[in-house]
Amino acid sequence: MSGNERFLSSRQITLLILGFAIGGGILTLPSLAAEVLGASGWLLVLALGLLYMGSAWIAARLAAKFPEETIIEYSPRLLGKGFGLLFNLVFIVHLFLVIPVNIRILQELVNISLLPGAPVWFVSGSYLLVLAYGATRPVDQIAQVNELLIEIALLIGLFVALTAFQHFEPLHLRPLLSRDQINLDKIEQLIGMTFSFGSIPVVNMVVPYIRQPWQVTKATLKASLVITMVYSFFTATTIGVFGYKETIELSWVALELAKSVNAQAVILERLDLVLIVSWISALFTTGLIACYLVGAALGRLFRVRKEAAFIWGLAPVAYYLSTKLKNYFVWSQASFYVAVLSLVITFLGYPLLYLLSLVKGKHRV
Amino acid sequence: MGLILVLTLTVAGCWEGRELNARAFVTAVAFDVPTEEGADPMEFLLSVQIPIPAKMGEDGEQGGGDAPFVVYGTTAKMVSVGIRQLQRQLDRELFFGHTHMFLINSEVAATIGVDRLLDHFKRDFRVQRMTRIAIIDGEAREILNTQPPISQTPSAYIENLLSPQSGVAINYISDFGRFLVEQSDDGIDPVLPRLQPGKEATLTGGAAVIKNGKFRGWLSNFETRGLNIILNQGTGTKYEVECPLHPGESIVVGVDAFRSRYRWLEDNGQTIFLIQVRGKFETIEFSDGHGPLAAFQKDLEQRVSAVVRRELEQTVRRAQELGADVLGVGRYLQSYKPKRWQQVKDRWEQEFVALPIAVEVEMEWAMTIRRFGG
Repeated sequence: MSGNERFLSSRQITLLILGFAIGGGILTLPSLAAEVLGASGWLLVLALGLLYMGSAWIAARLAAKFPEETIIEYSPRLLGKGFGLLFNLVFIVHLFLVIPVNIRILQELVNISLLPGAPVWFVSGSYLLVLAYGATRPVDQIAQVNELLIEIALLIGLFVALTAFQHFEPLHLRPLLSRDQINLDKIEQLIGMTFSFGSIPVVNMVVPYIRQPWQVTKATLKASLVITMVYSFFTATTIGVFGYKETIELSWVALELAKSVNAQAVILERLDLVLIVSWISALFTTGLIACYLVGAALGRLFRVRKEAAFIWGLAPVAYYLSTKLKNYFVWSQASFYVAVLSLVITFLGYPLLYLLSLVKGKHRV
Repeated sequence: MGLILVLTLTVAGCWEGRELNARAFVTAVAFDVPTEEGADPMEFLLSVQIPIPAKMGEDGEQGGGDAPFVVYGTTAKMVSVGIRQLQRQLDRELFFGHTHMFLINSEVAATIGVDRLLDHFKRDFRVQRMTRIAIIDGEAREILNTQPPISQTPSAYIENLLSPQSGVAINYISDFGRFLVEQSDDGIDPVLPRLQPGKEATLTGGAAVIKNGKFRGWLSNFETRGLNIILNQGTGTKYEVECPLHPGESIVVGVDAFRSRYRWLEDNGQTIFLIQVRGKFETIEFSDGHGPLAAFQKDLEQRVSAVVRRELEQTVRRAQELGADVLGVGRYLQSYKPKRWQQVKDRWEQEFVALPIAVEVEMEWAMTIRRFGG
């Protein structure tokens, strides 16, 4: 990779990781956390975030070791051709499955609030077209769009959470780790939570475009820290406002939080609608980055320069799968499978690849 | 991309769009006992108030005396069925996204239950959690038909009465969201404000205690004020106490800085739940010829403390009489004494009724004085 093709700043890398992670998952994260750990659900989110930070460090170190390549290229050299191919396929399938879940979440949000009767073919179809078109653009353009949208979404989300603090009751966050509220047997919810954290692959795919590759670890850790803080703060706020029992009962807790408050100013009187409009941007950045990563990964896998062909070719498959996720329960189940793949990649794939890179040494692989 | 552009320009935001004049905006919903003889006890009279936009800006004379709203009603067992029946009378779609109030007659709240009646609305994404709820000591529909004294819609008038801006400590301020939270929380029973329809105006004051989703009983005006103090609702209020120097004469004090905290005391196997209240007051009116005097400072503080304590003790007694933990003692136990809570949570109603609850009040004369003497 020549120096003039390295156009992404470390800030853009941080925001790309944020843009991929923060989307639909956070809207349901507090409910899952409350189901598993009751009033201390936010602690679980914090613990998961810290765990992912550790893995993010490994992934970033791995990426920094191969600044000219993506993970698709160096994983077969580290794992061997067969296992390398298998890892790459799991990696790509994981990224690809994010897209139909993302489309379905957007469809639900749009039907809930903005266009109640709008059919799937229109909402999901037009959204997918925009995603696919956006993902065929160069990565610097994607980074710029993401930079703008994710910051706006985060600011509005923060505003809603802070406004909801008027209903916050510290009593709702107690007792800490009460035995009768701990349900670690709720494996599905526990694993489902990790769906919101699986954004680390971004760094291993965009490292060849980073202006200063040695800053990749810092940028990745910064993003992971922000994700952990945002999720923990939001979960604590939600449980503090609703109590853990009511939080469990609500599907879209973030929207309920926005419905609990209003600001006496013209467009802010319906904060839930303001939040939805801005959160569609956050969903868009997740979908856009996922589409781009799938195209880039397939391009590298098959050594084809026209990545757009893969993106447009897979669009009907993504659409078909999104239509199969017919309701909340089905797409929650699908997000669970995505989370399982994410866990395998994050806590098995990355450490193994990093260890192998250390053992074999970069010059030999 | 051309397709996206065409779709964006032609249908964005307009899919299944409804013109404003194709919607009937429901501003308030009321539940009453059916008027028909021999009605099923699980049936209720569902009424909705819909404003008539064309008449909303007119005063009584210009508008020919017609109300700027219309009230429709139907009898049903399920809210969704009732709405469907109401829809048959209307050429517009009933829309609940701007509903400000749910008014529930106390008898219906006791037999069918608040929780059951609001089930439809807590599942409807359009309904706001800030919507006010009140239990009506009388006919709820009557309030929907009452013209407010000042030119505005009745629902806005009642909503203002039930919101913090009313500034009256004998009102309990709650809304749909708070009700749902308290309803789902362990160790606290929800309370909703009371409204009484009158001939000329609707009266606020007092509150309804809800137990297991159903109406259990009333709190009087002063019991409600006591509850607001205990729950740190931050409401300012006034008390009348006897002048320490001149028996029979009165001093009115204004209080707006109450702070209450709970403590669970265990001593030699004896358990006492202690409610500690601190506050500051100012003297605002004297029936006697004198004004504030340093001589009676201590006595006045003691008298004000005693008056407040008696009121709070009455609130606690009433809650225990009703067997409803509106004070949130159980929630406090769950948060700070989880082991103890585990032992008692399954029989909390009986435990709460028998629990010794002490109230300790310490009021301080803040003494900002404009005028000495008479």
